[in-house]
Amino acid sequence: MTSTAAHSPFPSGRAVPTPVTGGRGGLLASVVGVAVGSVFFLFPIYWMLVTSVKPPSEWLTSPPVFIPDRLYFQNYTDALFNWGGLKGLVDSGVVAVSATAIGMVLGTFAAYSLARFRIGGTNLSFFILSLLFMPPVAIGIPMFLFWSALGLVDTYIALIVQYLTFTIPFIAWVMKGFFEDLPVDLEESALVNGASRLRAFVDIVLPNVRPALVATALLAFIFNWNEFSIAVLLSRGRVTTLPFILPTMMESHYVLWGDIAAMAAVGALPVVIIAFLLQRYLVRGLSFGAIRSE
Amino acid sequence: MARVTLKHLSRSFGPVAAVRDLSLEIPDGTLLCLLGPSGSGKTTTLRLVAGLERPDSGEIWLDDDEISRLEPKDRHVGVMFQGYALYPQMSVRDNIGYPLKVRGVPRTEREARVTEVARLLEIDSLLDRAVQQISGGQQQRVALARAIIQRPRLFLLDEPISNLDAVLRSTMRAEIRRLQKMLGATTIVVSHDQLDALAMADLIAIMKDGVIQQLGTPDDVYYRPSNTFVARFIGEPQMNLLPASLARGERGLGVRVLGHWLPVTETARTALAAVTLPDVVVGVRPRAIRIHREGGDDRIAASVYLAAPEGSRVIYQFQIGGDRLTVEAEPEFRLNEGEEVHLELRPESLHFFAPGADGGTRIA
Repeated sequence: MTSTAAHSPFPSGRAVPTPVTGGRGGLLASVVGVAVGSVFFLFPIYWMLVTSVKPPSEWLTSPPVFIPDRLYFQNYTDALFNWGGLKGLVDSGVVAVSATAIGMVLGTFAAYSLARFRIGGTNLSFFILSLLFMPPVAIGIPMFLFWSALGLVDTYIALIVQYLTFTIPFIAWVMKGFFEDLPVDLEESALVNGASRLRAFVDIVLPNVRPALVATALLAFIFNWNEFSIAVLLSRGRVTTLPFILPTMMESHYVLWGDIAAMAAVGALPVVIIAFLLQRYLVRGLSFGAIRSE
Repeated sequence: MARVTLKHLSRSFGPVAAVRDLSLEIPDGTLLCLLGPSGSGKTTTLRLVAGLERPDSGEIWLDDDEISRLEPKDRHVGVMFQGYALYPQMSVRDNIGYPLKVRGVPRTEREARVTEVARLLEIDSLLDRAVQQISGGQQQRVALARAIIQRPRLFLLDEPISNLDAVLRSTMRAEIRRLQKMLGATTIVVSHDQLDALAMADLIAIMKDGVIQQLGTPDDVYYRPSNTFVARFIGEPQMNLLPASLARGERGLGVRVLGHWLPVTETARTALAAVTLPDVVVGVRPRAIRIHREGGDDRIAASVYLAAPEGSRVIYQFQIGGDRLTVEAEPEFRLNEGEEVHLELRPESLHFFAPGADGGTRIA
């Protein structure tokens, strides 16, 4: 088929079907598919953003207002200053950044030792994986009793340490796979060239898994930034992360949809900015595993 | 550079004994090739010397220093890994200079030495390239440069030739040999390819199942293989090994093989006289057998079973009764399949081994 087409005396676009799109019908179908998919996934985000800049009179109208005439920023000032959004940003930031940073350091070392020295045999690494299967509510009550016995309920420490119990296993598990994919020759060559284990790790191993580190850190950060169930259990109003604040805004008789949308937009923004800045690493980190020591 | 002494080294992985009670002395400036099939323990031996594995028992000495328990970084050995293990994130220059950088050699001296070594290996024009951008042969030179730049007491090369294509192989063998001679470096090369060993080595240690079968010069292992394993492993095509028995004939003690009585040399006769059992294994290299069209004394009638011309030589399989014999002949000498000829196995070309499935020891 292809060989006759290649030697055809009448070269024409139609004679040689392109295998990927399967002709014009296929192209149309995929365009429609992508369009429908995009609307499905992007519309909620659009609706959040557009609601956040609508005046209260347009929040729940029927038919809905898809494109507001003017931008109404009062929602944002209300969210940030009346509802404690600013403090929420700070608290979320402190907790998520700390848990991610500490988790990356400990989790990466844990992953390396699991990958290279088979610490704890197969049982330890499976135990670490099993921690990720555990729903947080399962440990809710003992966790609360533990922190209240220490007098640390409603503190940064409690949230950070509690988040680490999930963040470290997550990072360790993901990074373990990346370390296992890295040829052991590279480190051994560094060792015989005069490096200590730590030096070989820093000089040779880390630079080769940098995209993976960035991608893993971002995923861990998103998890910590979005975390809700532990935050609800361990907060009493002094440490208030954004996911904790959002539902408190719905308790009044009249739901302030614009304020909630503005708060949600504020909460989503940092993650979007970070992901955008790191997208170069993300693509490589998520398609990792092609390194070979030729 | 240094003399290397291995004393009763052993290393097991679970139930598998990779290296068993291995003792070896490598004189200063010698290139030793550890040769053996895969799984024979040669790479483990190399890793023990490099410090990448710890011996279960035994000692490793460099001159008068015992290094068995030292960290790899404190042993000052240069290693070239089979896959070269070049650091993908570094340029050629940084790869070569890494051992100096780790040891804190100042930048200016580092630069000078990198340039010097690169020039020696003719890769000075590649210094600023990324290691992924250069060819396999060039990567190997970079790996070699990195191994020699720290002026180690000992070089360890793990399968240095095996990743190269056929054209580069003989060049690289010569290159490694030239470099080793020039630096006067004690070197251990691990290889499964007998050509590497025969072409490069001063000494060859042939290993099987973690044990050295024979240690000797290339001539030793080729002309005086210590057992049937070595006899078969060295030489291509393989040595013919034929079941035989000692038999007294009109001309004294000889050997009965392929249905014929053949005389043996005076030295072989002395050695064979001490053997109690009549059964032996006779070895004869395919090159050492002469083909005649006419019959004669001590010539064995045979028919051509298979002829495989290989350009510079022809490999024949002859049928003699129920046995087959491989013979290497000059390309001018053409025989057709089924043709009848007469083979001469000269007494001085015969090797004698004790019987045994594998590894029967040499008698003469």
